[in-house]
Amino acid sequence: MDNEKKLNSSNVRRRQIVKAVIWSVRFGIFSIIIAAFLGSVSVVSRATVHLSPLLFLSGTFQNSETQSSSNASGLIGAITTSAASLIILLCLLKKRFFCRFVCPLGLCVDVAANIRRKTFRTRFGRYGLVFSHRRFFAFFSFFWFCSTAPLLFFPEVASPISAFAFDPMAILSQTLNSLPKATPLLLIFLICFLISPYFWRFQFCPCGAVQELLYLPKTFVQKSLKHIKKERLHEEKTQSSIASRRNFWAMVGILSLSPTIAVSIKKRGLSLKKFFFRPPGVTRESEFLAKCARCGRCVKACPNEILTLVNFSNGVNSSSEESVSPKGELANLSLLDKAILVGTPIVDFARGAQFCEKDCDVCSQACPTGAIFLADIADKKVKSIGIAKFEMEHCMLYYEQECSICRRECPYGAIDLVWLEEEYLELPTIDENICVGCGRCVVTCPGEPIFLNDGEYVDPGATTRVRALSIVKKSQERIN
Amino acid sequence: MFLSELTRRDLLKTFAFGAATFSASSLKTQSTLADFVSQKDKTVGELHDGSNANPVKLLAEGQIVRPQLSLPKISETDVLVVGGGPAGCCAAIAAARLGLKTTLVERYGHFGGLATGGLVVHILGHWTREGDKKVQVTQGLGEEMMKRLEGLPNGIVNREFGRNPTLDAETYKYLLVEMITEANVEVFLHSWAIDAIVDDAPDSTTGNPVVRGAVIQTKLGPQAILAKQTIDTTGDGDVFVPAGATHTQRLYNIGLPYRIGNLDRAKPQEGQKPPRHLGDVTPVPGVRWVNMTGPSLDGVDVKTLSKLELSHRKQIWKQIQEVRNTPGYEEVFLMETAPQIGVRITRVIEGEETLTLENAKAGKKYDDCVGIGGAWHGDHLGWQIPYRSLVPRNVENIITAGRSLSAEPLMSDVVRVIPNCWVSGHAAGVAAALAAKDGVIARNVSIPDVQKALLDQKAYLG
Repeated sequence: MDNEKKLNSSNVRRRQIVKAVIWSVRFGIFSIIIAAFLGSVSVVSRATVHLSPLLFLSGTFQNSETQSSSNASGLIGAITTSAASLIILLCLLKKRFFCRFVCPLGLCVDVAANIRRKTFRTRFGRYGLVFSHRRFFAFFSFFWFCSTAPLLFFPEVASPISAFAFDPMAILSQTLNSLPKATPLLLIFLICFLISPYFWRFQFCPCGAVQELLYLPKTFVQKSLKHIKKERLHEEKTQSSIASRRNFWAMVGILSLSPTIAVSIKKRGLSLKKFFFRPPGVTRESEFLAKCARCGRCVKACPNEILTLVNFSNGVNSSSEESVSPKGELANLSLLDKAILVGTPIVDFARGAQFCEKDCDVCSQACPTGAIFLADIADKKVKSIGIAKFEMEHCMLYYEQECSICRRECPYGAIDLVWLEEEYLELPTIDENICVGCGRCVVTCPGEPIFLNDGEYVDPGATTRVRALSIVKKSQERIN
Repeated sequence: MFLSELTRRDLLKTFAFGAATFSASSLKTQSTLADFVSQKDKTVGELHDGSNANPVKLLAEGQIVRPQLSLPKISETDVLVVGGGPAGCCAAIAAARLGLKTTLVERYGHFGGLATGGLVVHILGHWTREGDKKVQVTQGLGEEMMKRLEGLPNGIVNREFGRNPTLDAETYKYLLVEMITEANVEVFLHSWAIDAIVDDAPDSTTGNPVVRGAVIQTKLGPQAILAKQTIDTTGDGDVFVPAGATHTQRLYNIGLPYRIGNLDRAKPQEGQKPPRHLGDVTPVPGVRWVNMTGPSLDGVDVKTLSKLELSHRKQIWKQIQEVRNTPGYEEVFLMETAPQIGVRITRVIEGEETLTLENAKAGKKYDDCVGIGGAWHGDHLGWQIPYRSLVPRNVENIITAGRSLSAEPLMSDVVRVIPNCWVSGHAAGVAAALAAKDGVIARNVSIPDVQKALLDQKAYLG
């Protein structure tokens, strides 16, 4: 402030204009992004997530096919890709360009910082309460990113709570998908406002960490050219703590601990695996958990609304049937397991008796991180949701009732009725090579006939029906 | 009516039928009965020297041939309906109500086909779901039958909105007698259609053979019925196959339903799961009917049918013993097995339009819609039945209805159920009657007229 006073008035005015322009540009971009997220044009809102350098880069490096699938949406896809590339380029040249110009959370952080500076200017100093923990959080964030970034190579070691989940664009998407569940955004606001305005950006945000990495080459170039003044260099060191030597060794230390954590987490992931049905295009649960940004784009995109996000209240007071809905299983989970799963999409066939449409890969197209990835429609057969399982004791035919609905409804023709001499019945048989676990048979199965005490048979359609068909996970051998 | 050739057994049979129809208290029936009585003396004790016999010959080279035969004409009619099942009865009643002379041929001594003789008493599939609401798409004659069953004691049960009711086979047999005699339909029971009568000259416009009636097998040998229009509702294509219509022959589940009694005397223990083979409720208290899926085999092959009858009866006996061995169910007994084996699908015509499951699911609309088919559990949209699916591609003046209308295999599975047979039978009856009235071939009947007549008879066309 004192410096500014010394400068001449025209200079002040020029800076004010620049500042005003910058802020209006930021608010402009902010409102465009929010509008795109909320807007009915799903392609635009889908594309917006890809602007994040973290998600964009992960898409590029992990899987070239993922990239092509996200580009599939024609002109808008091309625009998104070029915009994202431009942002990466600018991040190489301008420090934290994305944070400062594009990121909606960056804007929130800056607004919060402005308010805080004006309100409690001197109370906790610039970094507030967490000053001493600042470095630790930076390590943490970086480790986190590192554990998620090389997913393609070591999915076993990946963190079950993805760094992508804390990508600002993913958080925004998650928040705007369901406004009542806007807690993550509000929490960040609170942290920024009360503890430290820049806590999020510098210490926590994985996207920020990526930008730091992107800016590293330029820092080194500047260092080697020795064009920078000493105090400037010093400032640089304190701000970009990630680049410092001590942080590097701390990071190495944390990373060396990772196998232990990874193994325990992997075990947990395996124990969870049998309960939940992921969207098609997911093969390994551990890999999925590491990749999933918890952004909820897939849930919003699914035309049949069979996907739902895990949240802490899932399964509480749930009366849904277990054969079609995972809610019962969710209710039995421990808090820790739920914490890992919260925000991830699961298939819930109880939602309006729907199923996974044969010619649809919208969830895969909507996924910004490649957690759900289908190369094409045919890929659904390989990366299936599960496989239908038939239980004779709940079948209409077993109780001498006329039925062949599952065979008729199966979109893939995977179900046939086969005569079993021993049972003297024709019963559904599922062709495991064809079934993809789309759930059509499950939701249409009239279920076991119910006999009342007086022996009267109740028509199928009662809510309490037990169905003869359910979806189960395919065995691991089949997946690999 | 060839009464001079009646034997004593036949006379008794006709008496039995006369007595049955007498109870329908129709003036027409009474006069027929009087005819029989007055001609009684002529037919008893007449000597036949065998000179008229014309047996099948076994030739020297082992070939078995039927010598050429001049057939007696038993009747000449406007609309001939062959097969008195749900579709055939609806067709006959609908045609007769339009004022045409209608003849109905049935191989058993009662009407109703699988719904009565086959003991498939479940009315499966007359509801559909349109959005959140359920719609009953089976109207017209089918709805009239269900309504009238309601008025009869133990006629129908579970007739509630959105539910699939179950009717009583005997009540339905009686109701059909009542409705058919009311409509003044000429009836030939115990007659099995064995041949189509095809005109010497093909149709001048299409070049296809023209059906002029059918030959029925009776105790007096084959006899001819001449008709302006013929409807084949035999389900097995007993007339359209000999007429040369293109068709597909399919294998499908053949079962043997049965009824069990004394269920009202069963004393199930608290919390006990009932035995498995209890089947489904019927309108008669304490009586249930048990369905059977059976293996998918050829329903027109007599060897198969015979083998299945033997095997199914053994299985039914086994199932009954299983029920009786369950504590509390000792008094349950086997009331009856179906007199008619439960053949579901055999021959299906190749129509001008073939129904497909894909089109049905997509709700495809047809200009020549003559009925709406339902869903088994009211769980999907209704599907339109185009008139062209009743008409064979390459034969004139014969149409079909019921399970043999043109549909792909998975669609036939939906088509074949009783309410859909009522709907298509109703449509076929109206169409054949109008074609006979207008003197056009069945293929060229005026569709708007058919639709209008169907709507007049309270049918539902969407």
